[in-house]
Amino acid sequence: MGMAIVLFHLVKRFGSQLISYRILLSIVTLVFALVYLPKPFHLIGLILYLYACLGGLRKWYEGQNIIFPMLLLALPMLFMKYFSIVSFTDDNWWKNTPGIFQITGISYMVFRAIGLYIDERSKPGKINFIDFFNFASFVPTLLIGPLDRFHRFTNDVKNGYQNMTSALTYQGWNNLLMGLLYKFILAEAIHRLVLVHLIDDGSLVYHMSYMYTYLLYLYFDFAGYSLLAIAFGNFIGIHVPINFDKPFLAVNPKEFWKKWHKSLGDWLNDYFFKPLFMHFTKKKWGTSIRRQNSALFLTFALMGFWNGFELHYIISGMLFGVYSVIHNYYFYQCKKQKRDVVFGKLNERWIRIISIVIMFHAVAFAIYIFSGKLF
Amino acid sequence: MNSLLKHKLAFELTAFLASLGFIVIALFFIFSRLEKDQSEKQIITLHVNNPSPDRGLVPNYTNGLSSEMMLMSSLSRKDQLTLFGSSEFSSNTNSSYIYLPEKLGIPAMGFGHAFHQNFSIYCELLAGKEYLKDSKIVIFLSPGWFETEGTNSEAFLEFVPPHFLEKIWMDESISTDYKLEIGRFIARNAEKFSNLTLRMQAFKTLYESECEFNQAAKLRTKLDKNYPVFNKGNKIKYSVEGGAKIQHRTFPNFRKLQTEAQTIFLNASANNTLYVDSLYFNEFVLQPNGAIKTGSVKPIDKENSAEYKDFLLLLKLLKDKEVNCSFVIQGLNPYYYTNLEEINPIVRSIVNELKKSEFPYLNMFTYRKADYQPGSLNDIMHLGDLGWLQVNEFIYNTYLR
Amino acid sequence: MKKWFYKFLVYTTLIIGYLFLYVLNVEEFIYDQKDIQVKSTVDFVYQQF
Repeated sequence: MGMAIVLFHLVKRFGSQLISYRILLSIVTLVFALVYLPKPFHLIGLILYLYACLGGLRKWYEGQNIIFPMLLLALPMLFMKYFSIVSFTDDNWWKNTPGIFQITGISYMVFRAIGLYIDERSKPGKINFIDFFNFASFVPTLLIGPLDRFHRFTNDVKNGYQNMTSALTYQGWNNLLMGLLYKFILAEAIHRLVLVHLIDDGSLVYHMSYMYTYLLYLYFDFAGYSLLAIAFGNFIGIHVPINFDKPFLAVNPKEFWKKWHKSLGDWLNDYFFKPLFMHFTKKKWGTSIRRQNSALFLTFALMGFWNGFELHYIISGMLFGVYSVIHNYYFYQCKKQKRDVVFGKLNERWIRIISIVIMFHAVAFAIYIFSGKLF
Repeated sequence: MNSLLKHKLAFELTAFLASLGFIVIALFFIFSRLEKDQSEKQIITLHVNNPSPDRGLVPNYTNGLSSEMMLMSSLSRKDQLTLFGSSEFSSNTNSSYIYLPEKLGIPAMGFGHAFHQNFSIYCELLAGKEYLKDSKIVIFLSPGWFETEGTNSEAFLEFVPPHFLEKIWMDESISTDYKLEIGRFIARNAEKFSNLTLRMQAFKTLYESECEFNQAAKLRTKLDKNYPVFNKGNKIKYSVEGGAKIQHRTFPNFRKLQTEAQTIFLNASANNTLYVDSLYFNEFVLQPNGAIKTGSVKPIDKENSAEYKDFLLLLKLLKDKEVNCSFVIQGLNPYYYTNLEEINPIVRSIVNELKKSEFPYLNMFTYRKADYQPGSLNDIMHLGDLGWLQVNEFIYNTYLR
Repeated sequence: MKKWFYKFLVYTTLIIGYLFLYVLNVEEFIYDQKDIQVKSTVDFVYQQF
């Protein structure tokens, strides 16, 4: 990564007329994939498949329904999730197939492709392969995000060399420091000094200790990784969107998903919740609140499945869905009755504190289920 | 460079330097108060109540201190033979660790079972380093070892118990080069262990500090060397007892015994022409459809063989410590194995190395059917009565003539 | 000043964290290693012969 950053700056300084930013980015990405990734040709195959599907859909698919395109693009990911939970005996002729689908970053690539399809649906013309390749396989965000948007990313790439300012580099440096601190110091310390030493005696104390510790560990590990991805993007002139922003200060689920894995929350909101809600509205299913809550629950259930086809991922996703539904209904009732139906006339500061505490524990419990420790 | 950037750079640099300065001062303060004297390390003497025997077989050291003590006592007793081997070690009455004490009054103990190979033996000898000079040791090499990828993780845990590792680590007279080899093994096999003990981690860090651009490992090794508080552990000593003496008995007529053993074996293997024991033949070689199973060996490239490198390492240690060591190179059955000539080169290399190091050896390997003595192996690879008697004769001639 | 002190803390935590976690392996000083059981993660099947 360090060498790539230096290369970009050298080319910007001495060779920006010779090689465009987007070409340089593609070359560096390709080299990285071939040298460091375990199955580079599977990755390239996946990108070709997604690009072919996008091209085909844009040319020939005229339906308004987005379910079919989504499923088509998500096919490799669905296979991967399926095969990761199914065991194979030597008798099956497809016993070697699962490996084809175990590709680094497949889930994120598929989601990027789906977002791209929906965003660019109304815009005519071809999508340039280099632009798509750069967007789908951007190295810092390849493994676990953040999820960017095609238009925003491609604009950054267009202004690639100009974006590589000292201000952005400085921002990158700050992100790098925090990323290192979060992932390699705090998360590492929590894992090695606390988490692995908790003794599983089945008691409530154990479960609660594990729950809080795991949540903190996951936060620092995930947020740290996101910060490192953002930092490396910054160093080469890309404004990678932030992914975590003090999530434990969220007062309700809606705010939480704007602070925790924000890029995923935004993606689910724009490409699943909104279309689903609009679809329910068109079909005039039930009341508005019922349509909203159904769409919310299904969105989070999908998120559960996206994490994996294992029970703990699915239940965890659904639980987040339940939280959002409860909050949405509470909000709806407050609006309807023109008062706070839970906290009444309690001081705002106290409401905020209590809400934060409730939200924190709700999240801790859902993440505990997500961890797979319970089942 | 614009002024805003200069300001930011100054901001970062001052914060960083202040932090560094603060830590350096704190570390200086802390380290100036730390104990540097390593000689204050306590010596723990390990002791068992039962005296160590002068005969029999110890399969591994998982039984705890008593089996460790048996090895150390055996090494320390100048009149006792210490035999290291693997799957050929059984309860055959002609096995050297039974035959020599019972029939010839020569104390002898065997150590090992399957998967006991060169690297484990290396570690055991390092653990008993102070007893090695002039200790009588016989190592039973098997060509099968060289088909493996070296000593495996399970064998390492069975044959190199925590006390041995601790003793080696805390022994300042053992050179770093020898310790590095253990570090290399642990580092290479780290994933094959469920977790690493403190001591295993220490060996691994030592190896990493020498071989990689790993500043953390280098720093840690320096701390371990200079400050006892970072180098947790105690020196270990085994409280060994002597007492085993050779009781001279009449030199047996080995040739007569061997001829008798061969005759008995030929009767017991009458149902086949592969010269394997009849029962063994029926169970493992004869197929249900009446066909006769055969085996083959893979040629071994000694440049890429971890086991061969371990063998050279063991030789180096034995020479260095002036051990009175001899080797038995076991054979394989050329009537069963169809291509033994493929591994003849590696056997020749082993023989050459032993000659170079001037260690006496008995080479029982042949790929030629004509040179194979029926009965030297009981089956396709394990010593039979004839074979054991040939080994016993070799040991007698090497150490008692 | 507050920002500078915050930065100072970040650098200090990074350096001390590195020393504690990656040089010293600080858990060996906190946790007693006496009962640690090591197992091989690979099963080696002994020969039948």
